[in-house]
Amino acid sequence: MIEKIHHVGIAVHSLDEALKFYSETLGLPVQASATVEEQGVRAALLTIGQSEIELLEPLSAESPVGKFLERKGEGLHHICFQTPDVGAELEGLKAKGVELVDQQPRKGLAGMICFLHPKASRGVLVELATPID
Amino acid sequence: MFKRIDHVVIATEDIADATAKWERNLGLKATERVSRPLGSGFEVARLPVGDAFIELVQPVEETGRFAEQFRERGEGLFSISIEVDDLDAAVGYLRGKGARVSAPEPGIWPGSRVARISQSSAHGVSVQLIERR
Repeated sequence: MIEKIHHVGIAVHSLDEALKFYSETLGLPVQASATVEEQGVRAALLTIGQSEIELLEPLSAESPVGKFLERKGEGLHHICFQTPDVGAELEGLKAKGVELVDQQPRKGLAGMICFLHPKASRGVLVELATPID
Repeated sequence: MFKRIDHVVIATEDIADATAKWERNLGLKATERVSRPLGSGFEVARLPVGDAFIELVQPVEETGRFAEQFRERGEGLFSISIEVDDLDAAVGYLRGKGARVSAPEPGIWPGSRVARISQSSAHGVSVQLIERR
């Protein structure tokens, strides 16, 4: 079951530059920031209503976000939906034969997460997350 | 001032297939279909999720603002829409901060007015501001 939009991910060249617009100008508070080595990013989550905006700066040009920037430039990267049980959701997707990036949930900035393949949603990279409190 | 994500726009070449995939994969259902709103050249479907919604958009004419952007960018995440209480105040504030923002105009959803922040001012993201009355 999908509860809400957890966040929208935006790929940027520089987290500090992007924070000037999204945090300083728009006034969105930074709820968390971290370097996530496994995903090759420095990231910040900014609160907006019941959702968040996630800014992603690649750690290297070879990382997935680095390659995205090379190909498409800065902009919308993915959308993440919150679900109470990402593992159960993933099993349901497998049973339906939906194209996936992750076969098992893993730990991410938003909690336990997984990514669907963009093919599953006509070009949209979709993430599912179950926050860990 | 910038309250919440009102909706996320996803561009598609086949709104029937996209609608079917979003329902099959994540259970998000189209509750409304609008054909050529405000005389525009596109078809729209609205899929509520939490306090927001996904707006699927398919261009059905070769010309027009959306059709041109769609040709450049293809299928996928297209823009995010952020709700504000006072659109004129928000536009004035952002212009005062040096952002490029279009003049307010009627939105496709009844009772709404919208303005767009230029992608160059928002790190490659097409951001729409929406005021609901």
